[in-house]
Amino acid sequence: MCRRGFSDMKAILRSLSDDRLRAYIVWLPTLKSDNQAHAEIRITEFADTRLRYFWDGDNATGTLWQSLLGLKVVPWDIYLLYSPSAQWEKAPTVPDYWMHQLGDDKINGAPRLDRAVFESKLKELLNELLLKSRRESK
Amino acid sequence: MTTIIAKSQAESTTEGITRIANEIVEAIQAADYAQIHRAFAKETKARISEEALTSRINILLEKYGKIQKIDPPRVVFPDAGEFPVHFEKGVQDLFIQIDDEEKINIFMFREHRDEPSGEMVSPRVGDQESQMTDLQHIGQFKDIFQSDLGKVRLIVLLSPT
Repeated sequence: MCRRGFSDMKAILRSLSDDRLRAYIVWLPTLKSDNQAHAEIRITEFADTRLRYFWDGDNATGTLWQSLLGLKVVPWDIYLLYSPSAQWEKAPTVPDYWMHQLGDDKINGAPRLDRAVFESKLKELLNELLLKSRRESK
Repeated sequence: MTTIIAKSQAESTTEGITRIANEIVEAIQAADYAQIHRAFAKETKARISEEALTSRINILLEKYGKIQKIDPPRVVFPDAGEFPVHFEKGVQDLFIQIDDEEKINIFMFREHRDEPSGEMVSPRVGDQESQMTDLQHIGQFKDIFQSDLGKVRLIVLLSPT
């Protein structure tokens, strides 16, 4: 599952060269075989100047988004999009769009990961940013 | 014991990086991973512990077997080089980048490619993003999220296996 999701994210980053995008891939200790060393190996598979990798050994990010998204379990295989104006004050806001690979078709309104749909939503957010900058420059 | 990064003033511009690559391979063959870790730059040491480095190399050796030989660099600059390394079960490319004091900024094995990778055209530390931050607290992540305010941000939570 994760390999497909990672592969999809790599493909999306390769296809969108827009520098107004930033990506954070967080590796979590979810399965028994998960550890920092495995994450170190995975990060050698793909590099992009807009991408940062993280190892979250305490699953702090998983716990945070579990609460934020109202999930029953600490999630992994989730893909979150945030607009340029999204702020993280006491906590991050609910994502502007998200998908998952958690098993069920829809979870709290979020569909299973579909690369084409996810890429399309990402382009929408980038286009909104472009329109905004054009409006401001007038 | 050989000490990695024993700088020789007689070295030409690219001999240093080649020598360091060879010494890394010798250290791996001798299972002396501490020697490699000692050759890391300060920031690299902070990012990758000796334990993590040892685990990473052991996983590589489990997957590909023992190292048989290292080839001359396909691409080399005074501060960076990419060297095909032959294991019993395949070839991986060793990529290293060093600082002015010949300490290692970037050390990685990656899938062997027939053609040199694009980023080797002008290697710079900031451009090599295959590095990982070990999150100690959620505030670190928050700071990065906030520093990219004004950009579209994609967050992915994944299992590495």
